Amino acid sequence: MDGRSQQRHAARRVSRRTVLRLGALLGMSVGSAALLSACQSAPAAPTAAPKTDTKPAAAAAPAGSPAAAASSPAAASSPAAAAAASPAASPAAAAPSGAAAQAAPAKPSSASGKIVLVMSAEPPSLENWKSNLADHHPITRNVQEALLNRNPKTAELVGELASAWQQTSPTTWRFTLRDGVKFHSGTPFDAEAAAIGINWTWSKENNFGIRTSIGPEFEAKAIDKQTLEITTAAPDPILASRLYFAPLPDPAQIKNDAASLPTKPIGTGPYKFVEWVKGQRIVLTANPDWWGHGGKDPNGQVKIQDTEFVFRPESAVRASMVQAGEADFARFLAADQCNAVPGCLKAPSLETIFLRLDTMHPAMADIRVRKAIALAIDRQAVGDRLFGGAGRPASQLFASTVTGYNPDLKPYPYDLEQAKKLVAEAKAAGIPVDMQLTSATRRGIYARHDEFSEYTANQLKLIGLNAKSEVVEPTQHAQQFSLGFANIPKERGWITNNPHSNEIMDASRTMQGYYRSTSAASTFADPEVDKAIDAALPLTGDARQKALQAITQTFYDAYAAIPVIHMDLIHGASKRLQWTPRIDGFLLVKEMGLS
Amino acid sequence: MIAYLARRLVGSVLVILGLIVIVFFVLNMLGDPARLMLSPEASQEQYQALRSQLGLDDPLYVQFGRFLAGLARGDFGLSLWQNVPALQLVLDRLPNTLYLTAATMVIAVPLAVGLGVAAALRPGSSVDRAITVVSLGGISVANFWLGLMLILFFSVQLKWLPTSGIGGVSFVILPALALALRPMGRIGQLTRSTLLEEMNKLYVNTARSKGLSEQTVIWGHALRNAALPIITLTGDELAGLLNGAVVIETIFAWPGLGSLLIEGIDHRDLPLVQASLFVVAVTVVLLNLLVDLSYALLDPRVRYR
Repeated sequence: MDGRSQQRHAARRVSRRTVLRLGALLGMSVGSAALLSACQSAPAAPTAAPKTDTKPAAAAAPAGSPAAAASSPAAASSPAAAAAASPAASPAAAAPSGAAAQAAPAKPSSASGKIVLVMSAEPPSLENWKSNLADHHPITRNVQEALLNRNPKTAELVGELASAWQQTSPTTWRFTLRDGVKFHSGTPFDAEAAAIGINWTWSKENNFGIRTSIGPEFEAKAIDKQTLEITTAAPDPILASRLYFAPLPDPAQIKNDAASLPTKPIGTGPYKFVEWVKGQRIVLTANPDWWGHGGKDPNGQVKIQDTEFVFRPESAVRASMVQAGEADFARFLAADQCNAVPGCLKAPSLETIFLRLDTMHPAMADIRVRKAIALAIDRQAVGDRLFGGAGRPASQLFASTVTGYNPDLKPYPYDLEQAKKLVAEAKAAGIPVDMQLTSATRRGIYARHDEFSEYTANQLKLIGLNAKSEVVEPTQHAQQFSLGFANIPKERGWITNNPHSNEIMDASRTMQGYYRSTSAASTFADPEVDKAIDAALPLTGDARQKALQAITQTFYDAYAAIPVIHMDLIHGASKRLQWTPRIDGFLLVKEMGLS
Repeated sequence: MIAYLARRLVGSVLVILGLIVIVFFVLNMLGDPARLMLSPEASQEQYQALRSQLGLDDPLYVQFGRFLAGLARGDFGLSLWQNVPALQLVLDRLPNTLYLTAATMVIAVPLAVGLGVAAALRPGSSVDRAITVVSLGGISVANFWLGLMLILFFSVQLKWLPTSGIGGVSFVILPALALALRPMGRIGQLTRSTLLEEMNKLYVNTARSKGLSEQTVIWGHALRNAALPIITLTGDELAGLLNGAVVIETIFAWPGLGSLLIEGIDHRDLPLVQASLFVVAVTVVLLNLLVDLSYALLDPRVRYR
């Protein structure tokens, strides 16, 4: 290489080295700046729950201590009689009358402090009407109220935005609304606002998911400022139970800013929406203008100023947050995580795990085979060992708090020998017991669902059936699950393990879903059962209770679906949290206190 | 170089478009989001009405046309589940993923290179073996388990760091640590082996005999020549992190792209999946381009035309 070439080469070497150095410096500077700006602009950490300095709360005391809740879940006391009580009678004793509600405005709350609640999933939307999922209601229900609620201890229907209600004819209901109630936006709450909210929520055009929870079509209209009338297309004695499940949005928001409905709910509730930082938290703050201050709402008072909901999909992390003092409440823990948290709240829920049998399958069409499947499941062992003691053997698809629950029915016994005999008898009679059965479960549907599916398949093999376990992707499962009896291929042979929750607390909801032959989710068809359901639907009071119990008995005797366990729900709590879980799973901060 | 860049960018655009089109058809074949949005007891009538509302009952070619028209405007549509613009959801999460990725590599790369150099300089020694064990351990450990152990130890027992979530620097330490072990292990092992190879070459002896200090020989010459494969692997690890460290994001509730993408796939939320893949693809393509360009900067023999 000559001198000039060397000089050129040296120049290139210097420039490349210079570029590398400059590039490294630039990269480090940009990276450092990015990290620093991320640190500075990052949202504030969820602070550890501070020691409370709450002033003594006025009026109604909150529910009992966590210890009391763990030993005697008050919400499980049977309100079945109360729930089945004739809705035609105005429950004046249960709620303040319309006249009383016109008294002086409520005093502002003396709330203070902050509570952090850890949920298992972030809601995709805060539109209550679109959800069937367990994590939506708890947040929105603090911001928006419904016409009715349930007593947290007895689960009896009580007035919330309605002070009185009455079924004035088989297809008409009248509600007297509270006076002096406003939405957080300042919009007055009256019958017109209620009618708009109800018609929006249940309109056929909107087709929101909540419509699966209703019976016949209905329409609301305002009679006067405080009187709302709802007309149903067919007699519906349990309309009040359905309405408790759906809080009311602000009609001004529906009209002027519907795009904000998914992310910024406005209601009349004790808490106002503050912010939703997606992926991180939803923050609420006490509503000083809430109608229920000063003891006007006997079922709760606002004692906590600020509420923050955070989301942790992993239950071990939820438990860790309570242990580390970062949260006061962790929803849905596993049984074995309960011991590690300061307060373990275990309470019955409305959730029942059951096996839904494809009764059109050549083997499962035979009642002996279905009975054998029922006898092959050791419910006590499943509840104790698989679900860590968080489940009680079930005899029906719904809890004892539900109208139509038949107390005479006991869980199917566990009897492998009898089950084997029944399968052998069926085989001898020419039933094709060797045909493939599939214990199918939807991926992620509940904790340890896959292990329960494996257990079921193994038990069926033990009694002489040809069974396998399969975890199905949610989309495929959803399509297969809701085919409807007439569309299910006979040879499919699915035994689906599934949770069912009857939030309406009336057995007709379960029956419409799983007993009726034309239901999308039903795998059972008996025209007599369909007729019995039709006959029971318009009934009220004791007559309704008896009719639904009789249908439950029929379903039980047919082994059409196999109830397994009623799930208890386990939550973690800090030492300072005062709250008793409700059977309907609602998390109402107005029922909570901090010691 | 300019021509090369232009060709790469054009090729990248075609790759990204092709990816999005393939995903459109594959997701449409894999299931119906409408059923997932309704309760199991919803009637066929309600189900069909929802499909109609979401435009899912239109013929596939009509849906595809609508999708292409939106894509031309940079509009991926509303998330079927969250009812907000899908691209906005993704862009809101991207900085979180970049932040976690940067923090992870800030921990992993210096440690990896340092350990790799230390091992290469003492081949066969107890130090070398110890570093190999640590590296292989980092590659092998299940980061699900590691994440939970870190939380139990540092957050619950010691209360030094928060358990989860996103916030200041203290929030990123545990997830970054959990993520850093694997790239640290892989990059460390590669650094060791490539540096060992370089240290045995003649030019190193020449450099030493010319009187250069050992530090200059290692860091100024041998490591520079060993850098290309290290950078390639670092780029590969970065791409993996940018795709989303789903498990760690789930455990630490880190609101990143990975968990958003998985949620979208779970719900068959096509607009959200498309928007997520688009952003991830663009990021990975840019990253690959940067890695390729760095070769030219590091190695004078590499020329792009």
